[in-house]
Amino acid sequence: MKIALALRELHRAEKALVRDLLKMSDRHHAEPEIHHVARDLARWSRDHVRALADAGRPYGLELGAEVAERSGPLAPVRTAVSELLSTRPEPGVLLLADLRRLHRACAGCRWTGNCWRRERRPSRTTTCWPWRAAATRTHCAS
Amino acid sequence: MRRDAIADPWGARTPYGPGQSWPVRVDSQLADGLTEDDVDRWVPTAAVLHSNGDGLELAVKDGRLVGVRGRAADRVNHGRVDPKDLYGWQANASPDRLTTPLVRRDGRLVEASWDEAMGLVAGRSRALLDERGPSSIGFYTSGQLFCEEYYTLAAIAHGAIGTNHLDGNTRLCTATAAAALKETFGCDGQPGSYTDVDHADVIALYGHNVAETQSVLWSRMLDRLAGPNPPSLLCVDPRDTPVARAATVHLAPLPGTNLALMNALLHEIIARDWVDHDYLDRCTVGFDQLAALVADYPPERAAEICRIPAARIREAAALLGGAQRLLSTVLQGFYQAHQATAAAVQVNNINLVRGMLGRPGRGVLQMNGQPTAENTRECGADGDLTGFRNWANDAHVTELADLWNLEVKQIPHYAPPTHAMQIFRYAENGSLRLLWVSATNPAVSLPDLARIRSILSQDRLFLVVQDVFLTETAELADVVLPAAMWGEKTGGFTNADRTVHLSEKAVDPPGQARPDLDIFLDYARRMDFRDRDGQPFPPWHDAETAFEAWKRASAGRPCDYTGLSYGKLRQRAIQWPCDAEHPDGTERLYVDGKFFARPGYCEDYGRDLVTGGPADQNEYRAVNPDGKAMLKAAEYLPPREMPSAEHPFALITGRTIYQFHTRTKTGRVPELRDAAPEVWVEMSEQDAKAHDLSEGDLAEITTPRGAVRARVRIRGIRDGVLFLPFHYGYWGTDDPSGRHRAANELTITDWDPVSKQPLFKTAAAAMRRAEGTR
Repeated sequence: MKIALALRELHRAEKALVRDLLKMSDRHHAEPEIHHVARDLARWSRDHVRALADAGRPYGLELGAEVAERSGPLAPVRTAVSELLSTRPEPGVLLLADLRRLHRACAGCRWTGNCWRRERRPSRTTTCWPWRAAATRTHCAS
Repeated sequence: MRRDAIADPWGARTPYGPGQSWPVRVDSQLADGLTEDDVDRWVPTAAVLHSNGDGLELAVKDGRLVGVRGRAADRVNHGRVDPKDLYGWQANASPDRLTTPLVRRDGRLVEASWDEAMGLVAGRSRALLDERGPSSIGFYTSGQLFCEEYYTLAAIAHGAIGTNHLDGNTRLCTATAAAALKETFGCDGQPGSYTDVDHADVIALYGHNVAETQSVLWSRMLDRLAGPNPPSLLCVDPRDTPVARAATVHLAPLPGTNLALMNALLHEIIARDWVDHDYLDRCTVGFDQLAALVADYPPERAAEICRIPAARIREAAALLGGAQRLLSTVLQGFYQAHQATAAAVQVNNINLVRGMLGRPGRGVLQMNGQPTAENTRECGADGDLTGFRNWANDAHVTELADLWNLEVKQIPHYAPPTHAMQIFRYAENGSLRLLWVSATNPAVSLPDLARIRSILSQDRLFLVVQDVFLTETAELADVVLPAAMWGEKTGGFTNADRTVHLSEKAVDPPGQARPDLDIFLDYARRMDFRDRDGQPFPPWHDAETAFEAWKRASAGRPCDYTGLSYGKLRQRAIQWPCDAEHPDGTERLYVDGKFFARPGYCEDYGRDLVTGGPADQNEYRAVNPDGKAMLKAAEYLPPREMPSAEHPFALITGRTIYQFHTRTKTGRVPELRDAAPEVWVEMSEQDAKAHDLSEGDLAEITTPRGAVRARVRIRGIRDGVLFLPFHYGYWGTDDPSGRHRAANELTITDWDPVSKQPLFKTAAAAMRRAEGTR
């Protein structure tokens, strides 16, 4: 029961994280490293959503396995705004705020994730989870 | 021996067998009508137009350079001279050398005095420091200066100013070599030696067209191939290069898929247990994770991704697995490609898994692209802290602050060093307001040139360019500083296999041109930088005092120079580390299975190979408490820009034998200029036919960034792949407004997440016959 609840919550958080990462990627299109790495991380998160859907089945959960690959209908607007402001320093402050929010969201997923790590293949879990926090840390620092 | 090095770049064979010494063959070239009897004196130096570090002597007559010859006793080249070097010395005497400072007035560059030009630079620096702080100033240097100059620049940027924005164009050529060594061995430092070629029974060249990029090293390999018991070669390259044609096995993966191939080679080596378990147990960590990851990459999977037969991958793995003395070399085909560091690390892994390190013929050479790239890295002009110190280790930062007698907080260590592409991004968003470019030409060499030009042309950016010619970058500058060239100044010079040469002054620089070292020190004096005791900083004042200071900075670090001196280097070239314990230098690192990887000593705590996220000391210590070599691996990801219906070709750019970089020197030398006067595009016969193109026709290649027109050369290259040399910019063209010549009009703003090296070998392009050119 507890595991089913945790899995459901983790699945929700992971899906939200995919959307956050894609939004982040589009909102900071002018920052190549943010734009690209956020998409790499979103792809990992989509893998996790699929894995969570599999993991939920034995507990009677029907969790969706797919998440959209775009940040929504406003994606072109987000990208265009980023490009328009690419020669201004101000989006740097917005970037910092976004990175802080993302870091919290990642930490939440990681924490909840600890309870079902055994369900996954060890090679994937051990490479993904600790590094994701590290990846966001590098951008906070710069 | 005099020869036509354009028609015959590698010269006559001098065959030798395994374990024998490479026979001497002295190449030379003198100005027309002169013989050696006419030469006043010979001045020792090393080759400056590639990364091999060949020992040379410059011929001087009546105060002018009149020729060159190889140094017979030099450990690197045994007398041979690369075709670029045979003729390249003539560039020093080009009539269009910069001979006086220039400043921009009313939109035009006009001649000025040194006092005026340096006054402008120092004045703007001081104003920016007061108003915006150290992060408003950045430096972008080279792989072609001397170690004294890099060390001085690092001391000024990281110490006196305290900016994190310092990098070299080594970011374009050798950043992945450094990153791959740090990931595997915890620290930069070339494990192998060129003499491994003399002993190897298998030489594996990964994305390393050594025949063109290091032609003298290729001569060494050719001489082995011509001798008894020759080595077998494995070549990984999408092009049918001279190396590929000499190889026992040639793998031509689709661009952007190197990592999938490497994972499959490791898969096969481990699955067949061609593994030195004793070495792994003693010397490495991480084998289980490596084995688990590559288990997902059977040759059939890689065959599908790389579009090469699985059987060929198995043949290659068998060659590697059966080697007794395996030498692996890597260059831009891996370094400038998608997942660069992860792929280069897998090369290290192959040698480690096979226990092939630190013995004659058993080595890894993560190569460089430029002559003194190694100095850029060790001195810290690539942004790393001086002497392979770890920016994330407070003890290392304190040590450096004490060495410089500066406050610890003065040295930026709050974040990783800013890499070149990010420095340009900061210039683009306006947080960086002064960029000082020395001895490099980003307006031709960086990717996505339209963007780079718009960044460098901004009014709010104060651009200082220090060079020997009015390059495409210098034309955009606010202040141009004329520099002395190689042959006109003295300094230390370290190549890709850690060989330190002394390059001595042979002739005076033209006009008012000054050595780069003097310019940096002049700046420091005008800025009145001081240390903790109020003494001028940096305290050194010429090349030899700078070298002595650098020796102290290197003491106890892997790149230890303390056993070297100008006097000793005048006798012969020596490989670092060279200290009291190793007075004759060190031929191979890691001979005893000991590494520079202890948590308190290592240069870097490593990064995630997919995202580039850095680990901290605790994470590193948990994985590698005893400082062993680390076996790391990553999953293959498809490149971000894949060929599509609209852009069906994979475009790769690169260097070719007769030109160096953006041709600022080689394009001014008649023999080299005429050997390859115009840009060309290489494509397969089938692709040419499909587009109604023949040899010599003009093709137009386009990507979402721009278009380039180039003459067709039909060559051995896999179908669907185009190759463009990146040398050709816009000086010397009739129509500079066209912008249809530089390969980097086409390349993408994207880089490897770990090494931050731009991707020049991964772009999708369209190609068609250019209008009206039948």
